[in-house]
Amino acid sequence: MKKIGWIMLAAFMFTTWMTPGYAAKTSPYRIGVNLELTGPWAEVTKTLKNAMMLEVERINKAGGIQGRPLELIFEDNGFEVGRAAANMTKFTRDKEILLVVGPFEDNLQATTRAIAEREKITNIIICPSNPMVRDLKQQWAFNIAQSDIIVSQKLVDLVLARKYKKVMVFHGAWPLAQSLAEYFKQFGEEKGIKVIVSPETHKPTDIDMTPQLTKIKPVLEKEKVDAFYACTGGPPGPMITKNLRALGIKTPVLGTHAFGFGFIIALGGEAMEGVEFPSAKPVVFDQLDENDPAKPININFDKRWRERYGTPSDQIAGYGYDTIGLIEDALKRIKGKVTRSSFREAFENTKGFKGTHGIYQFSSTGHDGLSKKDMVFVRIEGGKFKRIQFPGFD
Amino acid sequence: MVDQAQKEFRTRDLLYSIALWFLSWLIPDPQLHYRREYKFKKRDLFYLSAVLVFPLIWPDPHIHHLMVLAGIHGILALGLTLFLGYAGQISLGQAAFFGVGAYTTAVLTTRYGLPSFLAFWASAIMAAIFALLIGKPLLKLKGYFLALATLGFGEIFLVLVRENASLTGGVIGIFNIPFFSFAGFTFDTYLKQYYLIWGVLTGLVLFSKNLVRSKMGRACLAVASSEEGASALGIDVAWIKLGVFTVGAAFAGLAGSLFASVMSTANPETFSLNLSVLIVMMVVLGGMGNLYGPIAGAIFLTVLIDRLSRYQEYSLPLYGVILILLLIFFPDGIGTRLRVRLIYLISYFGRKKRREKVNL
Repeated sequence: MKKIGWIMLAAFMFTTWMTPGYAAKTSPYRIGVNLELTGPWAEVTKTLKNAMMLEVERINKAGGIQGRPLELIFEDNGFEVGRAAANMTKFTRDKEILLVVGPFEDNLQATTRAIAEREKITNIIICPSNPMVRDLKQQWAFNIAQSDIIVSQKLVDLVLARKYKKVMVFHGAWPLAQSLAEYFKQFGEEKGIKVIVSPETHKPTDIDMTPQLTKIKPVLEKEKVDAFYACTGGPPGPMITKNLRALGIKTPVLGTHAFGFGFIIALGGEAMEGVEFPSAKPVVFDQLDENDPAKPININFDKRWRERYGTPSDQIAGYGYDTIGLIEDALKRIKGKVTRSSFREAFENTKGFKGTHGIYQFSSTGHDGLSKKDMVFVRIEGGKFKRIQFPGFD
Repeated sequence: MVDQAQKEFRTRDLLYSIALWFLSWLIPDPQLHYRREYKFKKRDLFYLSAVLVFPLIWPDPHIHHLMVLAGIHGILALGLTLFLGYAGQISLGQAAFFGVGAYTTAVLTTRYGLPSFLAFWASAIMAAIFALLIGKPLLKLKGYFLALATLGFGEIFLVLVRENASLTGGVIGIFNIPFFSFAGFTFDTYLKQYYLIWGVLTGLVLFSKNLVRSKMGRACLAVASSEEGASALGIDVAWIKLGVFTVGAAFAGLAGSLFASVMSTANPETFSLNLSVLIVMMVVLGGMGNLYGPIAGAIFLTVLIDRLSRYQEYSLPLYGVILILLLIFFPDGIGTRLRVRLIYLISYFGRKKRREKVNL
């Protein structure tokens, strides 16, 4: 009996030893994903994760890329700089990992970008916003989402189209909201709009903005402000609008691209009627122009998303779709050996990739994929997002 | 029958005693501070050589990076254990001093171009000054009130950082902080940073060892057991508490400076209450009555959190369950109870065999 055991052990060792050589041809392309799966951004990153998994499954079912499947390896960074950086080194050390996606929030990005530059691995960032990060010379980091510059320019267009002369900005105390406010002031003043940035700010955890808005109210009345820009994201958006209306202020409210979620209307209710904002295309994908390439992609993706998860897709899910789509596109274009550097070359040469958010163009000088053309104006009417168009501003 | 069974010598008892003898090398002695004077023992040499050799026998950059973080947490926990474990006071403001250190280094190196070596010491001094200023009024409080007041200081520090955008960069923070360098030698790889940080930690452990055995350390223990009793003995309680608080803050300042240069960023989100609670957790989990316990706790928690990352959204519940279990089974900390627990475990099988014999 003992002898048989030894023979079986030897056979087992032999086969396992042989396996790598045999499996090399179909070994997957491994992608590290470094996300805030716990902490304040858990809900958003979960959507992103689901979208990425859905897309990877589709690609693998269709036989992968040149016969090699994709594989996502998730690591949670718990919204901490140290852990995000440690995950990043974990990925860079693993020679199998071709690129890293994430982290999501900009507080964590500066460190991972620095590691990506040092270790020479592509780092795809979903939500770029930090102006200081953008100033860093970046070779290996790429941005997916609309940058704050584009959003601010689009909002200035909206203000011009509506012929508002004075706009009050009430911004949140976090990097994205702050830089949105600063760029809006800069671009608005170039176009002759008077922008008043409120000294009062709010935090993402504030559930009642009445104290700040009570202080702002006299300024609003004295300056005869035409529009109120709630420069924020997440739950504070509807809170601000609700509290404004409760204080009896009738000034039209403008929002950011972070207003395009179903829960915003559910939280704000009646008060959200008439709020206008520049938005990403997936929010109103059924109202896009017939010749818009993003329309069929969104309809198709939304259908698959509903089948799988039972809820309507949103713009965050769209980022997940586009990220995997861009990776697939770049991998398909690589001729010869797929390495970290050849992948970076291919990704940088992405021209005209059509995703749910629009058309992506990367170049050696521009690592932001989207442009102003990939945004639309949206107004909330009757509890729904409705696309609005202004001649000359689209 | 029972007596006979206990007197009976078996060869495997020898095995147990070898294991116990080996353990006595590894595990810190909770009674250490009752001894009259301190000598450099074999155990310390063992720890030191383990720290020196570890990265060489495990040449994995990710492990080095983790140990760099663990070392920074270890410095923080060491500073807190002097205050929490020895002087018996609770502080939830350690992250704020960490932040003071990080921002001092960030501002001095990026805005004023000071060499990082000078910024390193300036960070400790800055954190100590902050601790002196706020410690004078705060340390009159006791127990929960002191915890609340230090918590308040942590929040005030965050508000100060967010609002002084011209100095600290506001919510955006400061980027591109250079690596620590000294006399033309830059600590740019994780291996070099490992030796830098564990070198600093070794120095601070030696400092703390001497401090604990000095007049001040003894006074601390007296204050921890009874403030009235200590003052009756002629100990200046307020001064002792302030002194230990300042030393702990200076440690945190050094850790902050190292963190800023390793991560190359300083951002208000990093220095929130979460970090303070994590450090208290490291000290409590590691064992409060000794100096090696908190460092063990820091290494353990840092590695644990990293290992749990792969479980994605389940990492947080798992982390909670592990902490609860550890606190139930090791209420005095893994560094303190480990010895007793392991002795129990090793002798368990022997006792079981013996019990069966008795019953028969």
